[in-house]
Amino acid sequence: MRALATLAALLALAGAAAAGAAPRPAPLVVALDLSGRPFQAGSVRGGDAVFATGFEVEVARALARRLGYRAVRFVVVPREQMLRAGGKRWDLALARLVPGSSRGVRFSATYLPADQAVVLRRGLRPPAGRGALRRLQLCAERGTRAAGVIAARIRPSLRTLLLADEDVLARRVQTGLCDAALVDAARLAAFTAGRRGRLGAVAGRVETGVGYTVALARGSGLVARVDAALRRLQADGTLARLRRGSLGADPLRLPVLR
Amino acid sequence: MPGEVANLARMRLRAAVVVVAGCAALLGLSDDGAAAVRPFQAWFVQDGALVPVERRAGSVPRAVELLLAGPTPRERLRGLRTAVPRGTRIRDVVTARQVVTVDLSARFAAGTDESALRARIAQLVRTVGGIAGVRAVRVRIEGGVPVGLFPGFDLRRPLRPAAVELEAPAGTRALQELLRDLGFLGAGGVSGVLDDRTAVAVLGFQKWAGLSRTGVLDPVTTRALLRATRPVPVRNGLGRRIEVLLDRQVALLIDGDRVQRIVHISTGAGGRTPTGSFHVFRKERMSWSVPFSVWMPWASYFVGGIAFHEYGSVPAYPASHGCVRVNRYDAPVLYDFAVSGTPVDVLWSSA
Repeated sequence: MRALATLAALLALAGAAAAGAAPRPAPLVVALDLSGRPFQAGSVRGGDAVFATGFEVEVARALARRLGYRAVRFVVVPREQMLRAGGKRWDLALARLVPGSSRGVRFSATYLPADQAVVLRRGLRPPAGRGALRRLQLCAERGTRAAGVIAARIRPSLRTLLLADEDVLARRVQTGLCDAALVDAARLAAFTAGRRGRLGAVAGRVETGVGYTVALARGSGLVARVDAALRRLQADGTLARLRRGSLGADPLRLPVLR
Repeated sequence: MPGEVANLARMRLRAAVVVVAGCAALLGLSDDGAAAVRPFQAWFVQDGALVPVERRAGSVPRAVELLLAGPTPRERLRGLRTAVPRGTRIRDVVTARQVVTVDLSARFAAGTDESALRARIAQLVRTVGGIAGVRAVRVRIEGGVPVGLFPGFDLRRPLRPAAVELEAPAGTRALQELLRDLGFLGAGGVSGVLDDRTAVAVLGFQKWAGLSRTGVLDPVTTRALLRATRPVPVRNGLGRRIEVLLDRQVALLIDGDRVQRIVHISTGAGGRTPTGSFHVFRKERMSWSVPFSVWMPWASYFVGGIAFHEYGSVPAYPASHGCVRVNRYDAPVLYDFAVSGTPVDVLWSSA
């Protein structure tokens, strides 16, 4: 009897130990480039983002929940490396990537249109459409998508002024040297915050026809599931809520300049 | 050899004593090891500017605690605010080689308002960096290096307090560029030196903005300048025209709906410059004033014997016999702008 009790106790102990040693479910590993607010920013230790915040971070978390992951691990990877072919140490990458920017990875459906908002100088009446923008002195930050959008979608009569950074861009609109600035619509709230009274009205947004997508390794089994999850997040209003919460305002609510 | 070892040991001991003494001075410790409470400046925000207030602490961590606690109720009544979110926790504060590493909880990086995020870094670095013996401040969030969390700051390296500003650095050249972009200063006026030409432009700006007319780039003027927008015409109109604003003592050189230049002027004392709509009808590079026996360079007549012209003294108030005195830097510009037939509106009020 005593031997049986001992055996039972040993078995119970062994079971408990086995349970304790059971591998924890693997987290979804998401690559970020921490380009800055409002998209993604964080705090880095040993290649991992020990703290991350921003719209794309929230999209990644929502995707992970939808895909059934209980945890997300954020790793910091330079953008060029994300797009390179070959083995990946991550499952998904979010870094304002647009489809077609690389053949080394697969791209998901869009989670945010890459539209451009038009911010006018003070005293300028909002233009009725894209055509009316042609006559204005348009300005953009160098190295952003805005210059390309101006050339392709607006075709202005005056040469576009490309400025070194967002502060200079805002100052040129403030001082009237630029009639309008084109900025990523997702950054609009950040661009106008703290500059109340210095800038004019927001005329609307210029559609670009492209959007930001999630990159996955070629051959990843997650592609279809990520697409389906993004569709669900769109349909149930999660993405709209995240846009409002993380971007300061929903850029899709801006009127489209046609 | 044993002598060398002994020397090395002595040197190490001396170095250790120096380090300990340095830390003691840094942390405000008295010789007997008890904490000596010493004054330091905690920085808060008032009307968009950093403002110091005195606090007393016996250690750097305590100083950080006092900063995180925010202004006192009395200071709040005076308008002081903090951009540091309530609930921010200190994870660690370490001092090494006069660089203080402050590790804070993620709460410190909460929110999306970029100016508030910048302000809290400025508060922290100014406060800790201002403590005697501290050279620079390294910021950590949840033990990691902040990347992209605080716009405008590269926190991969320690920050020196002098490098931390709430607004963009406002050097003389930057302010002159701003005056030029706003239309108060000619393109050739950006020199990097606070010269007479800049003072004239500043005076023009102060008149436009309703500030004290000193011509000096004082903190109030600088703050207003950083927030200023380009002046707009008082009246709607077409083509090139000039508005003379008697209340502000400036002339606006306008093309279409855009003010090209704002010029510091002085009109007739006691309302001797008539109000109304006129046109430039006569121009003389050097005009002789018969009643006052004086040369008037760059003269553009727009009503009777009243003209825009250069004059040596252009005070911040109406001082002429009726003409519009123009400062020597802008007189040729106004002369070139005001071709014959240019409409001139002299307005009593620019409201």
